[in-house]
Amino acid sequence: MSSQENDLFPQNPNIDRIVHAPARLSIMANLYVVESADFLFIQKRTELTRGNLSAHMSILEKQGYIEVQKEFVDRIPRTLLRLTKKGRKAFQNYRRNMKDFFGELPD
Amino acid sequence: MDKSFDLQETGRQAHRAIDQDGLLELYLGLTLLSFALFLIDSLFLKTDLFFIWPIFLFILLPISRRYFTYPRVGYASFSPAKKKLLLVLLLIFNLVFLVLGIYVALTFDPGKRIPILDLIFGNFSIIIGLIIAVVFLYKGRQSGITRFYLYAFISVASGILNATISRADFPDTLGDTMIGYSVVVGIILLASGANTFIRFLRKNPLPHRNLRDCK
Repeated sequence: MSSQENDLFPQNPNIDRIVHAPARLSIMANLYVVESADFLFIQKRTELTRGNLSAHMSILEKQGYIEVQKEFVDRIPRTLLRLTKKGRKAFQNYRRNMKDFFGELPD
Repeated sequence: MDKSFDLQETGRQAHRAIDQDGLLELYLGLTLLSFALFLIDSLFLKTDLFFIWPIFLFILLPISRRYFTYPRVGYASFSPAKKKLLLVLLLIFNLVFLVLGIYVALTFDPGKRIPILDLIFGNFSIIIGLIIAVVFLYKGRQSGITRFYLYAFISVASGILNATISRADFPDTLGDTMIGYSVVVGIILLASGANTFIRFLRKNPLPHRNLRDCK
């Protein structure tokens, strides 16, 4: 996580920095609206490069936010991704906290 | 990268990615045309050779998506809650037919006309037209694809038109109202689906098999 990301909400510990990164937020938002999706589907939806998506996937998986399942379909490898319960909850909390954060801002 | 974090729109885009292939309408068109053939056969030819119409939607659609759509745009499975809703709707639909069937069986008298059956058979294309329109409206709302709304309108309009024409010529016959409906809507859906599918294949070339999965 970059220091720039950490500095965005210095006084708000409720904002989950893992979810907050734009690329990871996009991955989680796309996984939130489906039950599961494969790597190609998420790559097309987020427009991330393969390397970039793989790197962010690893961070989310390490955090326990997504579940990564490898399988073969017609002898072609397929990586299936899905949000875990923890990931779904983290995404909902992030949404709520961001709404609260912006709701607190003066006009 | 995708800048939109409107979750509803994200959901719509996910559905649109799969439904943009045109295969649903292509196979629904083939289903309706083969259903028309089945009705013509059971009314006039009686060869019993055309009971093939369910295979298009229920067998060939998932197989085609596996070979044409998912390798190009990726695979996604959607919320089990929505699948449950569809199953509940199907169950209600079947229950209505079951209740009607029991009613007809209990009150059947060969010499007597059954008003409710006359009403249903005489307007069957309207009933089917409405059911197919509801499916398209649901898909349209789910994916934001506007052509689904047009199909819904065509389905209802064709249902009403065919029921009206058939009533004038051959009242109270299930086959007569449905053949016209199935042929008209089937040809429109098949042509539109084939056109959409060809455009989908051109717009989404098959990526190399090594580029479809993570590094």
